[in-house]
Formats: sequence, structure tokens, C-alpha cells
Amino acid sequence: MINFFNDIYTFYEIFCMNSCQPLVNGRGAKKQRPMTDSALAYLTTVKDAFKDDREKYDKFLELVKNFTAERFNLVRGIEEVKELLKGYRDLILGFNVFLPKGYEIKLPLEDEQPPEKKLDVFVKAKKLLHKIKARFHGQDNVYKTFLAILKMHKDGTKSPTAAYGEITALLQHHADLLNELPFLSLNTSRTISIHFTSAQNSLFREKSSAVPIVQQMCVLKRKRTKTSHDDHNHIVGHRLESDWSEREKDNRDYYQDGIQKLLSLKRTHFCMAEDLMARSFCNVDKHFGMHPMPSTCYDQSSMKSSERFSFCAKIKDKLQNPKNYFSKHVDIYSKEKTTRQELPSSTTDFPRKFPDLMKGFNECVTQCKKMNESSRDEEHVQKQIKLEDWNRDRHHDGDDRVKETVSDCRKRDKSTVVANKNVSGRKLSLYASKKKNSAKSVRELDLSICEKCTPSYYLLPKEFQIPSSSRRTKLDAEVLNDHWKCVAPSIKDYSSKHMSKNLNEMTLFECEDDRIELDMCLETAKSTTKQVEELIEKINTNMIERDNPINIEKHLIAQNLRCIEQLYGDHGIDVLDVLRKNASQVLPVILTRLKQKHEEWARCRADLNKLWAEVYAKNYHKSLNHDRVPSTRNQEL
Amino acid sequence: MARGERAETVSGVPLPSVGTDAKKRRMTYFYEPCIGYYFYGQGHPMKPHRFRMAHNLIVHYGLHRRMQVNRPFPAAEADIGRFHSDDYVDFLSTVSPQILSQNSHSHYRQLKRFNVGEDCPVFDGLFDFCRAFPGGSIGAAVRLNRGDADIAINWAGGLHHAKKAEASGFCYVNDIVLGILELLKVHSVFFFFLFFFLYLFCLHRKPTTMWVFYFPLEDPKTAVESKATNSCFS
Repeated sequence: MINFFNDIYTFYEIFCMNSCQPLVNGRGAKKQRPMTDSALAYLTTVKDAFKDDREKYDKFLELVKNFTAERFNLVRGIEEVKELLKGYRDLILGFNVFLPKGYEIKLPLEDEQPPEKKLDVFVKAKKLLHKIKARFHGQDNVYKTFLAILKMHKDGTKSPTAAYGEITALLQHHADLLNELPFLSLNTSRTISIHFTSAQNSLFREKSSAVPIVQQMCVLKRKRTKTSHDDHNHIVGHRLESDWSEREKDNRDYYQDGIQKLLSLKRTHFCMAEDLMARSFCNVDKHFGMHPMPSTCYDQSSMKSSERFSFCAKIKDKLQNPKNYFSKHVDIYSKEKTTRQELPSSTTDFPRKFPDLMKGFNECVTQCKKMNESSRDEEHVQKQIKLEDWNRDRHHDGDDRVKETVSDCRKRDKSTVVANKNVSGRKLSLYASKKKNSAKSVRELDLSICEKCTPSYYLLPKEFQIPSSSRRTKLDAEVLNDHWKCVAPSIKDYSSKHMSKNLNEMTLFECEDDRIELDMCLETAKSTTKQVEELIEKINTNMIERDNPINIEKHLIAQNLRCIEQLYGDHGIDVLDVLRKNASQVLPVILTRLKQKHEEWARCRADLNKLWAEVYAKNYHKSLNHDRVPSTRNQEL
Repeated sequence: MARGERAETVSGVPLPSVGTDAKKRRMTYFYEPCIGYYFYGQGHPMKPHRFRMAHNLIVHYGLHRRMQVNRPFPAAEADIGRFHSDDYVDFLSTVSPQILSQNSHSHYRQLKRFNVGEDCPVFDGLFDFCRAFPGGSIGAAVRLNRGDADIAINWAGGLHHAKKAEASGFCYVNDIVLGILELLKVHSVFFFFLFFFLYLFCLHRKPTTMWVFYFPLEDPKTAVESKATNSCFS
């Protein structure tokens, strides 16, 4: 916001310069623009002063609006402005620019001295500007430079000392103009004269400067006391001159602008001049033992404000619509949209009319570019954000790779585990085989020492005790070999466990085992049923003596008894005991149960045959594939 | 495993072959119905149930009508003792799962000595099984000796890994040796060289029959490696 207002201020300053030019079109524009621009500039100054205190600024705006709407509250408004702007003398004095003509009437009642002095200062200022304009008629650059210096001083780009020095350098060849400038300063404010004198002294580098200043001051006081009556007549004469000068329409704008800038120069110069005056009084005190007079300072400040007020009042008498411009600038300034809209129009008009002022325009354009650059910075930030997102995606990809690596490690671990299992299995088998050899009587022998009749046959040692076979006949003894043991060249243990089988093949073998065992159950039940039926029939036909206990083992084989035992589960042994004691009564019950069980298993086999058929159809062809481990299979073969 | 035994002159195929005498060959088939009841255990490769399956195939194809079907007598301990040692025969006749459940040290030591455990487990009716299939082989030999048949078949036999005092390779009693001893009562020794090549097909690679007699073949590795397959179970 601050940058934005600075831009607006710069444009309005450029318009002030624009309004100074003679080629401006339209009277209305001439009359209204200067006041509007200065008002806006003043408001901007007030706003800058109240950066931290927004409420005061709002009150000030409301006061201005009320002041514009209600003309009869002028005195009250002035008092409120003084209270509101307490502590800001520059702002209070600056506000006089906006005061209308009516204020002039009340002020003379209070005091007669200020009006006279005001008129005097006003006339002199107009004369000075007129002279400068007339003398540099052929050299517009000088006059423009003079106005530019005043503008720059007003803007604050130049210090008061620097501005005053430049003006002095600009008018150094015209002593009369320089003489009038100090004269004007002396009449309006002694501080400026003191400053001017000190500047001259610095040029000539003279040490003693206090005495001339004091002498001049004494002289001025004497002149005032002597010529009081003459001054009154002079005032009347000045009035006539002012009437004449008012008629010059062409020069009106120049005088107004010049006066405004001089007043602003003095205003901003006030504080520094005050310091210089204090120092001069101290010097006087050293030399003459005099003390400073505060009443003098007070009178000077009051004189200044009254003089400025009279100037502005007279200027505004010429303007037709003072109220309108008040409301205009207030509305314009309060609404940011309006001011923003005015910018492009001013931009288009500006370069055509005034090529000299392109620098200011370029500065504005540069500021606009800076704004664009700031927007570009935002774009850059967005790009950085995108880069961060890209980096995150990259990191995410890295995570995926890490996961894949982890899964690979797991697979490797699994394969390693499988390999370990294989190794452990083989070790166990070797260990078992060693145990067998150590336990066996024949295998315990170390046959490497024994005699050989052929590469594979070893003669058993004499100490070895040959097991006896008493039932051998003479012929058997002649034919059978009890002394030579054949040792196969291959030491490998070719067990079915070591043959490589693929998953499908193992599935088929498991399925085959299940089928065989189910068949075993069925056939066993069937066989047992048959035997039990035969036994019951024998008992019924009295082939076996009933009084004596029947010897079950003679009629039923071990498999049959085992079948009955399993049929009754945990109570199988109890059933067999009862069967041995009282077979005639128990057998019918067992027969019934056997038939039921046989039917159950038959039904179960019928159902499972369907399932097994699917398993075979699914795995048969794959089980024939042994390409993966051809070398191992060859070794097995 | 089960194998067919032939008459003097070996030529042509068994069925329906004609000899030099222009006569039809007489077939004898031995089968014990109870042979399929015995069970080596869960997941054991040796399955006596297959003998019953083979018999069912023979019956359903109607082959039994062309052969003389005989039910063999179980072999006696004296018959088994002609080759196996006395202590081994006594062990087989007394061992049973109930005895093993006692977990005595002496029983454990005997099991190790006679190599009874993994390949040759103890199951119900073990000794009955050891008498059943040798009975078929001995019966077949008797038929051949009498001249009642030209070809005798016992599918349940062929357990040739059993040693004099040890069980081995799913085999407890070597019925082949017992059959040969029976045939030696009538025939000469040279006759049996022809049988060796018939017993090389086995899951295990060390057939005991080869070195039981005094006329062994040298370097059986060559023959065994070229022929060893799973054909005995297919």
C-alpha cells in the first residue's frame, strides 16, 4: 500500500509540473488541477504522518467533509484541526491552503498588523516571480530549473540547504534578484536571512559573522518604528498593484505555483532555521551578554500562519467552486479504485506532451516492472514447490525400490532356508545310516583288511561268529555261502527320499497313498465281516461247544481283531476283552456295527473318487516334467 | 517282487506259447487272499495291497479261467530256517507292536541287530506275512518239480533283499533262496544262472540273491545302474 501511494504521489507531482506549462488546454483544467493536486499531496502527507494512528486520519477526513458541507462552522473546524493536528505545526500551517475566503474577514478583527504584513509579503513574492519570469524570458530552462528545485525541495529529495545553495548559484549573476530574495526573507522571516548570510559567509570563509547579523536586526527594528505611517500608505498602493496583476491571466498560474512552492520551502525550512537562530542568539549573548527573547519567536510563527492564510485566501477568490474541489479530492482520495483508474489515462497523455519529463515516467515504469518482478518471484516460489513435489515423488519411487529389495531379500532367505533344509535332511540321513552300521554285527566289521577273492567280495574274518542254521540239510550246506560278503562299490544310499520330485508328482503320490489306505479300511472291514459271520454260523449250528469259552484267536486273525479294536476307538480293548469272555452274545452286535462302518466307508470312497479324479487330471501332465533338475535326477538314476 | 518261474527249456513267451513238443504250456497261479491285509505303515512305499489289486485285475480280465489257481500253504519255521539263522527266525516269530511298546533295552538292541525299523517295520501279523508269500514260492517250486506245470506264478513273492540274519529293503524272508533250494532237490546248479537277470529290477540296488550262492556275477554295478528303476511298483 505504501508503495502504491508513493506512485500516486509521484504522478500528481508530475501533474503539478504539467499544469505549470503554458500549452495546457482548457481554463477549467488550469483552475482546478493545481488545487486538487496540492490538496491530494497534503492529504498524502497527513496520511504518512498518521501511519500508526488510523483513527486520527479517519477523524481528519470526516472533519474535512463536514467542513466542506457546513460553511458556517469554519472557526470551529479550524479549532478542531488545531487540536487534531497538535504537535504537527507543518500540517496545521499547510491546512490554510484549503481555507476559503470567509476566514479573512474574521482575522482582521483580532489584529491589524498581520493583514498589512500579509499583503506586503504577497505583493513582493509576486513581483519576484514576475521579475524572474521577465528576465529569463528567452531562457525557459532557467525558470524551469528554478521551479524544479522548488519541487525537489518540496518532495524532500533535496535538503533545504542544498536547494537554497542551488538557487543562489542559479541567480549568482543577477545581484538584484538575490538582493530581493533576502529582502523578502527578512520581511517574512529573519531565520531565512540568517541562513542566507551564513551561506555567504561560508563562501567567503569569514570567521566573524555575528556582528553583521546583529547590526542588520537593529537596523530593521529602527526602520519599523520610524516609518510606521509610511507603511500604511504603502499598503494601499500595493492593493492597486495587486488588482492590476490580477488581470494578467497568462501569468496567474505561474504566480500561484511559485507562491505555493515558496511557502512550502519556508514551512519545511522552519525547524532548521530555528536552530540557527538559537545559535546566533547564543553567540550574541557571548559577545554582548544579551538573552534570547521567546516572545519574538512566538510572534514570528503567528505572523507566518496569518500571512500564508491571506495568500491562499486571495488565490482562492479567483476560483469559482472552492467547495467542489474539496468534495472532489476527498472522494477521489478515499476511493482507491478511482485513483487506480486515473493512472493509465495519465500514463497515455504524459509522454506525448512533455518529453523532458520522461525520467519521472521511466521511474514509474521501473516501479511497475518491480511489481511484475515480485509477481515473477511468486511464480518462482510456485516452481520451487513443484520441485519439492517432484522430489517427494522421487523419494516415493526410492521407497518402492527399497520394498522390492526387501522382497528380494526375503525370497533369497526362503531359498536359503530351503537349501538349509535339504542339507540338514541329508545330514540326518547320513547320521542314521552311521547308527545302523555301528549297531549291526556284520556291518560293524572293518572289511578293508580282509582278504578278497574278487573286487567286491570280502572274506569274513575268522573271529567273526557265523550265525548257526540248524535246520539246513546237507544239500543246502553245500550250496549256500556263509563266508564271503559282497560289498557294493557305490556307497550312496539310494532311498526314495532322495529322488527329486516336483510338487505335482508329490501331490499324486499323496493322493495314491490316501486311496490305498481307504481301500485297506474297506477290505479289512469286509474281511472281518465275513469271518464274524462264519463264526456266528458255527456257533449257531453247535459246531463249537457252548459251555467252554471260545478261543477267538483260532477263528479270527490278527487283522480282524485289530479291525474290531479300531472300530470302537478308545474302548476297543474293552470290547475285545468282553468278546473273549462271552463271544456268542457280543458277535451279533459287532457284526451289525461292522456292516454300518463298511457302508459309511463305501459312501466316503464314492464321494472322494470325484475329488481324486480332479486332482489327477490337474497334476498328471505337470508331474512328468523333470527338466528343472535333470542332473540330480541322473545322479539318482 | 513277484516273478514267473519257467520250465527247463526257456524260449518264446509264456502265453499262449508252444514248446518244441507242440504242447500248450500249463500255467499254475498261486494267490493267498489274506496277503493284501498286511500294512507296512502310513506312507511306506511297500504296499501288500497291490497284490490284491493285481489279483482283481487277473480275475476281471478272465485270465483265471486259463490257469490253475492254487491257494498256498503257509511256510513252516523249518522251511524258513533252511536259509535264515535260528535266532533271526525266533525273533520274527515273537516280535509284535505290543512287545515294542514296552520300550525295553533288550528289544531295542535286537531291533538294531536284525535291522528292523525303518524300511522293515514291525506290524500286526508280521510273521504270518513272512510265512504267506514264501509258501507261494515254495509251492510253485514243488509244482515244477512234480511236472504238474510248465510255468508257476507268485506275484506276492520276490522279496530278495533279506539276508541270512537281517531284514533289508522291505524284505524279511528271502523267498527266492527258499524256492531255489526247493528246486535244487531235482535240478542241477547250473540251471539257476538264468534266473539272476530277472531279479535286477528293484527299488533297492543291492539284491542279496546274487551273492547268496557260490557262482556270483562280478561288478554288478554296471548291470544294476543301467536297469534300476521304479518298475517294481508301476
